[in-house]
Amino acid sequence: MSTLPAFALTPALSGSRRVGRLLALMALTLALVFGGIAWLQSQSLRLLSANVVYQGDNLVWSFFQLETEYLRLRHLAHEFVREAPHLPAAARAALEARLRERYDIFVSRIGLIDPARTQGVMPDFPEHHRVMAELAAVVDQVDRVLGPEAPPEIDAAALRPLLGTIDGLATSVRELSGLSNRAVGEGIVSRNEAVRQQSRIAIALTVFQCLLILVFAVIVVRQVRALEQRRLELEALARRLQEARVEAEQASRAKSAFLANMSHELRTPFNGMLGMLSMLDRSPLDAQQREHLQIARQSGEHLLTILNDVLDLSKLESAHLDLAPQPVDLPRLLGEVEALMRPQARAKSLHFEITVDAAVPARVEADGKRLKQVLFNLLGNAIKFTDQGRVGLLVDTVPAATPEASPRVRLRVVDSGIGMDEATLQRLFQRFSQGDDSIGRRFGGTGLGLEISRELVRMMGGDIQVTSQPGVGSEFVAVLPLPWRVDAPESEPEAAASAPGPACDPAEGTHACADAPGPVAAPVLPARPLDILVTDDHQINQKFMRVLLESLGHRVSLALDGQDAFEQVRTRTEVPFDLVLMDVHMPVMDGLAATRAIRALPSPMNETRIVALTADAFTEVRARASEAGMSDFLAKPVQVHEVEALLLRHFGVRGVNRALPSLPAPASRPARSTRPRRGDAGRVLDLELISDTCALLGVERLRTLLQAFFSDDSGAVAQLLALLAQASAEGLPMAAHRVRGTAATLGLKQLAATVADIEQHGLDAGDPAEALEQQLRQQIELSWRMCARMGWATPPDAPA
Amino acid sequence: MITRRHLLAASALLPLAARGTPPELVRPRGRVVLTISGRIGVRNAADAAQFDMDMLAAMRQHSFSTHTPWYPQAHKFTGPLLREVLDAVGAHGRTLRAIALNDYTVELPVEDATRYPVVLARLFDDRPMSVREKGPLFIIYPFDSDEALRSERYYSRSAWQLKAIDVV
Repeated sequence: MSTLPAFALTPALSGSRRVGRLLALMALTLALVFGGIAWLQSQSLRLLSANVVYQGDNLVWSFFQLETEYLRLRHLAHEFVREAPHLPAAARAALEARLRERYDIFVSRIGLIDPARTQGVMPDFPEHHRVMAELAAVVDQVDRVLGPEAPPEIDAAALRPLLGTIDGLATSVRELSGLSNRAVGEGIVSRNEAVRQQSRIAIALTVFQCLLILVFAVIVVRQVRALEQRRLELEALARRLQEARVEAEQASRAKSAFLANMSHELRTPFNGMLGMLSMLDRSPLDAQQREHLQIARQSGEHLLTILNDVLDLSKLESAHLDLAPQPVDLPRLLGEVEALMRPQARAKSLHFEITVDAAVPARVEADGKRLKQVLFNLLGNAIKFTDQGRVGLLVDTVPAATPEASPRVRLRVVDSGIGMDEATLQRLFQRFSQGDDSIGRRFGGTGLGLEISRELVRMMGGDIQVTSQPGVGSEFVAVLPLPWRVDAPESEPEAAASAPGPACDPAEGTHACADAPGPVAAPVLPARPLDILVTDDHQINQKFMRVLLESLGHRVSLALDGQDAFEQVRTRTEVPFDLVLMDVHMPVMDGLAATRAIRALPSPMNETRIVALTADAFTEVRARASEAGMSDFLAKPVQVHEVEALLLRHFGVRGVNRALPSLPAPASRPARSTRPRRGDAGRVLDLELISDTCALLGVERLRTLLQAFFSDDSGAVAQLLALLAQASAEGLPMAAHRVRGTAATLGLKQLAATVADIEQHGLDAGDPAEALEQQLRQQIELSWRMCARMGWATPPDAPA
Repeated sequence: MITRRHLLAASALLPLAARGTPPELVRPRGRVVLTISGRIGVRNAADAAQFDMDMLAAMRQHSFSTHTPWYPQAHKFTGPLLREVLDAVGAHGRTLRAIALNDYTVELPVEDATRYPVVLARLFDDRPMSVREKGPLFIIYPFDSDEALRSERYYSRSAWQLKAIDVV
């Protein structure tokens, strides 16, 4: 890999260096060419200037003019010598003036051809100097007769001998003219030669310029081609990258789909398995079977936790996880956390304590489910890694960052556990990190919890900090900006609808339980049970849902797929279904398609309430479900209280009506002889006592206690029943005593009375032991059902 | 010699010439050194205006030093402005044909005389010029004052040994 960029870089680098050199070379050449041209221009200018310097009357003209004037002078001199003696005085004077003028003109011409003046334009010829000397000599002689110093009257006799001298100049003057002609000719030749030379240089330079332009053109063409090539390559690369991106996106979508599918596939059997285990737990079992069952359930729940962790993480990663803040009762939420964590702490003999500062608001805006998840994780870890001592949750407030914002809530989870060293702290929030490897083996878990917790807290706008000391303990501090709610009482029903709590008031709702400010269950009114169609392709799920819903007193129909469900809804014209629970993923026709088909039916079938039932917890699945026309959403694995909440939400009290169904029970259902009837409550249960207990302990603890009794965790009831079945009087009072004490404490009035009777009279009371056993069983079941109706226990119904 | 009468005549003549009224032009008393002919409004001969050296000397004199192609150094030239001489004769042509003693003829536009202070030089370094010294009159442009004048065109228009001007 590392060689690739280097390989790609080298030609580019050397290329740029080469281009740089080329540019420098081109610049130099251009400078030379233009320098040459400039030189050439200056040369031409100099030649022109030479012409300008060639001053005044041009040279040849001056020489010839001299010759002309010489000839005129000579002619006039001869005329004067010949004519003067014969002329009258006036005519002679005019002729003298003409001759003098002519002579002066001739002399003035000699100065113009002086070698000193002509040397700039013609070479220095020796003949020139000789003729000049000759001329000067002649002028000297003639001046004596014609010059300015001569007598005014010209002496023709004196002039006569000079005529010969003047005539003698003819050859020399002519020679001088020829000389000038030659000089000018040579000048022209040399100038022509210079011009020719310059022209040659100019042509050479022009040719060179042409070549240079040609070279540049070639370079430009090559560059353009290279650029084009590069552009094409980049385009191809961009195309390939685009394709790769599309493939990657497809892969990602496939992964998401796979994950959603897997979550469904995994959760569906889990739903069934855990449901069935719950059911099995309620059936009579011996101690060993119960223990096995307990282990199986714990394993299943642990597996479900891991699955949920993985799903949460994938949702967090794909940003599918949405927080749903709503008004939350913080003390109650903490109470629920405590109810779940305290037994775990107790199991390890740890001191467990939740301390809430008085300044902490009772009601805040938060996603309660996720907040609980964080606390479960932090407390679960604390308990897991603490072998002795204490685990505590301290809740208080810290001032807000800005004055306008609400103060932040600080949740501190403190333990006296094994603690962590610096290196472990560093890796703590990293995925799959579990302190160190040995911890993973020793304590199990996915190692995802902390990461999920921190992500959730960050989504809520807070963060988690850790301090720890090996061997001393750890402290996890989550600070959250939870907006405080100063609620008007109207918001109460909303909270009630979303989280229906069990009723505390056993009678007709005269006062609410202090520890459980949830909704007071409305008086149970006689009402028509709901007709519910459960659509699920999974038979175990079908069965589980059926048992669950029937235990709530509703009539259940089943459909195997969307097509089946649609047909059933379509054909039920007289009494339409009140509710269709529709699995989303199904063969033949999925839930969404079925919903759309139902919504397309004529009224009133199209108004059927449809609730999505799916293991997918993704928000987009919800969105698709509501798009298809589904009214609500029920997550798998189905939790009893969630079903209750759902029904309460949609049908009010009718949804949680546990009155006996008016229709005969289906064959698969157990006998309903012990079904509670309205008005039985006061006869069977000591409502006042239970109400007091509830106020004292809180409904969850009461529920735990009652459930423990009915599940017969201690085996005391089973022992009593066994003794009665054997009609064995031995140990009977003792066994009855144990059961009576618990029953009385829990306010199971009728049962306590019966058992007290047995305790007191043994088998002597008159009734046969078998009848007693039967009576006792019935009374236990009746009490159970009564409690279940009140929301204090899970109903004893189990599939046949 | 400049006589008193010449001076008076010349000074009386100038403003009249400027006003375009044909003035009287005195007759030359000495040897005629310049004859102006052609399209002129004032004459003192049959068909020309003739000047002797005194008449020219009586006119407003103008002088400057300049380099010329004919002498290695700068020399001082003095004489009347050509345009004022032309005004004195009421010249109304476009071109002047200058004729030298050796019958050399050169044409120069009248515009030259109006545009440049062209001098009809009669003194060379304050001395009269003999024929040998390119006298007696020399048309001199102020070569040193303007680069454009230093060319063959104006050198050739500078006629020396001037004897006549024909206004065309």
